[in-house]
Amino acid sequence: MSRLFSSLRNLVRRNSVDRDLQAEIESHRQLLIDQNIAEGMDPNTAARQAGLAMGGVEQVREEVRSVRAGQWMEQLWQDIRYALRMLRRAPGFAALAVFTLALGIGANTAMFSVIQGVLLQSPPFADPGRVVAVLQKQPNGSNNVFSTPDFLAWKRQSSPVAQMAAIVTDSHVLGAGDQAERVVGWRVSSEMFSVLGVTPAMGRPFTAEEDRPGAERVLLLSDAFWKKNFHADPKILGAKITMDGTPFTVIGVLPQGFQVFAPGENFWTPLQLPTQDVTASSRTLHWFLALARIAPDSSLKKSQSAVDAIASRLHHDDPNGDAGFGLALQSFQDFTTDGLREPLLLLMGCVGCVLLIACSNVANLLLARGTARRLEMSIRAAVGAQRSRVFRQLLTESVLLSLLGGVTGLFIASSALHLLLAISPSSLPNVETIQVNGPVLAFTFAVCVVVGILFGIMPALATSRVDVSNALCETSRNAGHSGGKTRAALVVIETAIAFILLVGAGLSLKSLWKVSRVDPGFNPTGLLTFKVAAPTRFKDQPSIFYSQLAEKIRALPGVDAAVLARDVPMSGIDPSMPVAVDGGAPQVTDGQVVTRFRIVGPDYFHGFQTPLLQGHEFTAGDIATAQPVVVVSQSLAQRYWGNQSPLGKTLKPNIADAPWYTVVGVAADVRHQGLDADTEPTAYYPYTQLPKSIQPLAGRFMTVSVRGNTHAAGFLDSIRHAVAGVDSTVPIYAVKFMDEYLDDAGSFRRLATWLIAVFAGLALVLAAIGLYGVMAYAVTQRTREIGIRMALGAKRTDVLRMIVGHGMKMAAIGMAAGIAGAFALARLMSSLVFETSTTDLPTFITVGVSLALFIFLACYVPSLRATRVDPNIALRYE
Amino acid sequence: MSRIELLQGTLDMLILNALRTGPDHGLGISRRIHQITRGTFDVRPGSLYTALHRLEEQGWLASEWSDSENRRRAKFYELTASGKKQLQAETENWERISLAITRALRAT
Repeated sequence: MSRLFSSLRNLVRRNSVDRDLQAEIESHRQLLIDQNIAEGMDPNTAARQAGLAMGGVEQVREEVRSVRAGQWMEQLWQDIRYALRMLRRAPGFAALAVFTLALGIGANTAMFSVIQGVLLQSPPFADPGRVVAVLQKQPNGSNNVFSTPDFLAWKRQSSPVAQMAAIVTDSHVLGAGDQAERVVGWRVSSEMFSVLGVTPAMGRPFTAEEDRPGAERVLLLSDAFWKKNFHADPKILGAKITMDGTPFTVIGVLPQGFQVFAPGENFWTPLQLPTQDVTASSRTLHWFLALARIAPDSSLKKSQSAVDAIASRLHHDDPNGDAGFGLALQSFQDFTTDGLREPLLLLMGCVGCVLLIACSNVANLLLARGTARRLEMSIRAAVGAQRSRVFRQLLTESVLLSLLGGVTGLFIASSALHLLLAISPSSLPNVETIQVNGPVLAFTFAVCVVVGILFGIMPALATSRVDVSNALCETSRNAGHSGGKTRAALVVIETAIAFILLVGAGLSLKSLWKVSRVDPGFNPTGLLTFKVAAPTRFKDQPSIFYSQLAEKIRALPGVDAAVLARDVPMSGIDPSMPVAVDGGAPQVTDGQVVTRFRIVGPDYFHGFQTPLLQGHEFTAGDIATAQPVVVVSQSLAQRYWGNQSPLGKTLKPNIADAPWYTVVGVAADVRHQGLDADTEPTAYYPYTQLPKSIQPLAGRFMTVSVRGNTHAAGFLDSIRHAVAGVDSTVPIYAVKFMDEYLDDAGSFRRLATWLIAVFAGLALVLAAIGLYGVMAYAVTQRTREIGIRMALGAKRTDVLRMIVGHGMKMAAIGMAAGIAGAFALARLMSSLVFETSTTDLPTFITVGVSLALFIFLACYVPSLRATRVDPNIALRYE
Repeated sequence: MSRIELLQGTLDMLILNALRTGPDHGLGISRRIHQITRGTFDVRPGSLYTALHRLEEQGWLASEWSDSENRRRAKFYELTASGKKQLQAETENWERISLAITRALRAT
């Protein structure tokens, strides 16, 4: 071991070893000079002679160093060559081991690439760990974005987030006619640039003056937008760009690669927080997100508790105020990966388990091979190889195996990633950055080395422990018995892990199946949706524009229905607004779900094929009159009126100038956020009867949903033509089939479920292969014993029962451990489980039975071989 | 002074032998070899330190910094127990080989 140690020391402490050597050579030179002086030379000559005799201090040092380092390298190289030779000599073993490891390492590499791309990539801000999202806590316990009055109230407090900045999406039409293009960007408050710590690559950020309402509109461009639409014009600063008829002055271009949330953000313009309109006064209109930077001497936790303290004071001063509910700070990274972190880490854990199974399989192979190599080891020991040297050699072999597996695994990983990205692009943020890159390669390399040592160390210890004299005269008869327990333990662990993963997969698959059977409350098939924004000339009466548009489209050939809704289900936009009923006050208490606020046009329910349970929906004629009407969802009717008929009752959204609306119809519940999301009470208001104060805000854009011959060629062009017929400057955007929205909403669950199923399948196959290997090996080992048993009169069925029983006993222990593990896993899986108990008995039984069947086969085939043993031959075996 | 290229392994044996009488530093070892072989072998520092470090890594030598005869700091090498055994083994081996070779040469 001392050699191993000093080689390691040389590697780890190269510098100090070098210094020591230099000091030693220097002392040699001094002693030589002393000696020369003692022999009568003058000091100068003595020093020169010493130098000559030594041939230069530096050269000596180099020589010693190169030989020493070279020796380490040479031994390693020797080991590698030897290992390669050994693997070539056992190609079957090598292929099986490399393939097993490639599956395990490849799956891990692919999964880590996803984690790296989604969870570990820091946003392009300065010191990104200090940027936090600031959310308003709601009376019902959930978090929401800010309303203007609450934002300003909080900024007046001297809190850690007093410098927070507001950000909200913005979109404008750029250009006109055929060139008209809808571009998206951000409206941000002037603090945003210091919060994110970004300086424009060109020009300047905007000032607080420019962020006041009424100030001249200025604009910063993203690098990509500047390059694409303005050909990277270096003289862009000061130029005027007209969007939606409003001129904006370009004052800066942001650095390349800068984005807040996702690629495709084109511009940043001052928020100019309104002081007049409804958003300025309403506490129920939550419409922008706030970001803040935590001071260098503080932390998220400290800031949160400082904010909590202020909140409780505010609540004390004004028990009914919204501000008193407080704020929730969340690191930007957590905010953007909310809901993904847990399942992704869970999947990483699962795939890690697959690798563990692969490892124990290879360890088993190595143990078996170690027995076969006892003679080789004994000979090496006899000719003087130290145990440490042999041990190192064996470990080199296993690390080499895992590196080969890792290289093969990289190919598997990159094709798996291709497949994965092709299947599920929309559910993961930054999906385009997922790839096998530097950090991923480093991860894979580290995994290979760790795994190589992990599965190699036990077999290497066992194999290198050789008693020369015994081993040389011993036959393989008794060999390997010592490894039997280890092998059995590995099989037990494999079975347990496979069981756990299979239960996980079973629960996820059952949940996926349950989700697929959920009725969304509308018929998405063949429903084409697109968005359109009323042009500036309809600014005061956008509903006129939208009704003209809907009429034009309805008149197109092949159109059965064309309906308006500001936000369609599953689109990710889901406003809410508390309501008051029957002349009362709005009810907002802790723990209550919010009431969804939907703005729709006539025939909406017919167009979406949402069943109307009572009453009727509003028609074009209805909503042109002054009598305000509303359609409510079944759950809303249930919540406020129980078993009474809701028809004719009244409700009022919590907007200052809202009228009382009369309920004319009850619609079936619709899943707005995904099939696995809860249904929430929803009120549907006609777009023509909105309170005046929110009309400009609500009417900024509208989604048109068309049912009919929507897949026909040229259909979209005819729609574009119809839109141009109303206003030629208006482009349509976000063209998407309703099916796609539905697909996207469920895509993460699908992805996670298929991944966990693939991992569980891998685990099952690997565990079965592992057990098969162990059983086959045990049968070979026990051939003699079986022969004796049969010679003494044991029947084939007895032998069969003995061998299979042995395997099944190991499996039974493994499965028992697996059940306990599966309960633990299921608890971690709550985010993936839907309408399925985490202790779902059918799943556990199905998994148990199928695993037992697999294991039985893995035992049965080798034991069949055992029964064909001819006692005469078996006794002569070896 | 005639120099003879050392057979591989021979230098190790000479070093171990030189240290039999007690610890010494590099220069001292090379002086002892020079004396014992009556000037036949002159060990260059490069080979000497390479060999010393190798022997130390094998566990046959141990080293320690201390003061030399004229109070210069120097690294002193000492035989370990396994070093002594190794010297014994190598000496026997060498005697067998040299006897055999001598015989072989005489027989011709």
